[in-house]
Amino acid sequence: MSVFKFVLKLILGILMTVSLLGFIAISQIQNTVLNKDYVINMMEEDNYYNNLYSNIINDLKGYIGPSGLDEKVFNDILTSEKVKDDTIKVIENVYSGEEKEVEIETESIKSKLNSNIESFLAEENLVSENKDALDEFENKIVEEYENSIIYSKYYRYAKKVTSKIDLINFVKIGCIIGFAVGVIGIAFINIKNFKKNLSEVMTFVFANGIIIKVVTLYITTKIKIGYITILNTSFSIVLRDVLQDLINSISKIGTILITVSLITIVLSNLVFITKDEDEKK
Amino acid sequence: MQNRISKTLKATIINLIVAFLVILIIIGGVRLAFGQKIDEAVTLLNYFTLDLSDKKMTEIVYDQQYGLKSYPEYGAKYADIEIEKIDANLPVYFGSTLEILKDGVGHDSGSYFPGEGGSIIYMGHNSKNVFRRFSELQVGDMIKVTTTYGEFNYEIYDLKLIDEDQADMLPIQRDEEILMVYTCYPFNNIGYTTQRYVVYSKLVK
Repeated sequence: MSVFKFVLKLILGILMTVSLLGFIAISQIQNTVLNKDYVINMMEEDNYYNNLYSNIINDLKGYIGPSGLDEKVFNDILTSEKVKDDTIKVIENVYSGEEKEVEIETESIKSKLNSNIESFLAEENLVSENKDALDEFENKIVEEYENSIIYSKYYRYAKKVTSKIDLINFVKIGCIIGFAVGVIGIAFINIKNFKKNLSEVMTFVFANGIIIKVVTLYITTKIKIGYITILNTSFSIVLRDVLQDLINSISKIGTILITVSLITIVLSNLVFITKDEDEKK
Repeated sequence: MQNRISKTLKATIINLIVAFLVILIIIGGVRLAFGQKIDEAVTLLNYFTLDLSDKKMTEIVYDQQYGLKSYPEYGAKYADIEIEKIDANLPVYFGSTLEILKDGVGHDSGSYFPGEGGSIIYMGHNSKNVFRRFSELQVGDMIKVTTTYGEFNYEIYDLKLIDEDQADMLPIQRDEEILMVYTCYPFNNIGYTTQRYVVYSKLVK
């Protein structure tokens, strides 16, 4: 085999490997992070809505200290069902790809809070001298609830990503084409010795599997996925599980690719050599 | 048969050598092109990790000459503040989240620690169990901070009313040890407060 052919095969092999890597990564991301049903299901499994509900109530209690009010003003202002409905509404909006931002109904919270505050003041024989301070307090509580449900900064970022799903599909198609070009190119180079094709293609699939294993091992040793903490505990639990699931599924694909390619390489070489010897005889 | 196996083995080894060559080229190329960005991304992601299992309460190491050599974990209690005049004796936590302020006094993480010779900023709610009697404080009153590494006494020299957003702009310097303690104002307000009452005190011993 000439050096030129070897270099050309190597280039095509690299193209195949990179394309296959891209295809696997994109497919797995589409099946997990970019899959609305998967995310909703994961939230359900991790008891996200109940945890978030408890987090919100706990955060709201932090506003009580300087307010002169009592924690009981938060009684029944929201339910875990409302938290769940609003969260699903946000997720559906993120994955819809629409530019329109989600709207959360908060009037019921404000109205219940207002009624609780009035009852508390009446019970304690207190009079609010500054109506604006009470309004501001109610607004802060509503704002805190909205922020806890939407996470404005991350929500906008997520919307930006999901709006580019078409572009991601385009890249995925590019990966398939890249892989096909690699296979056809190698087949073309091996046109006079076509039997070698399978073992050579599988060589690059094997390389792919090893790279996947190296990358997943690098990620799991360098990043403590199980301890990622962003925003709050409930969100972090879901995020950790989604990332861990993503890494596990990619790693599993790596194992399958290594096993299948290695067996195929050995078998195809054996068959090729046997046939070659039989032909010589 | 043995010949076939040895030939198969040889062919397979060649295939594997090619595979490892491809792996080296790809991984080497990626490291070369994006190595720094990958390291930055790993650092950034690890910034968001909170491994409580290996987080022991850091013992604060204080050196008379150089100040603090190690700091407490965020959210950890590291001192007690005592203001005799208003009968306040409260725990001080490093950090200022609403969660921390529910339990006691928070230490603004952007300010210095007692003994470091700079601005120290503490805050607490004006609720009944924290700083409800803050209005009784006057110039000349004493504030005692007992940390795990020493006791620090401060004398109040000024009292000011500032807007809520100005609390983030309290002066940070390291020329003189000043303890600033603030709470929400008005003290007996019902609802959300938009002003802060700040007590300024200087280290006396």
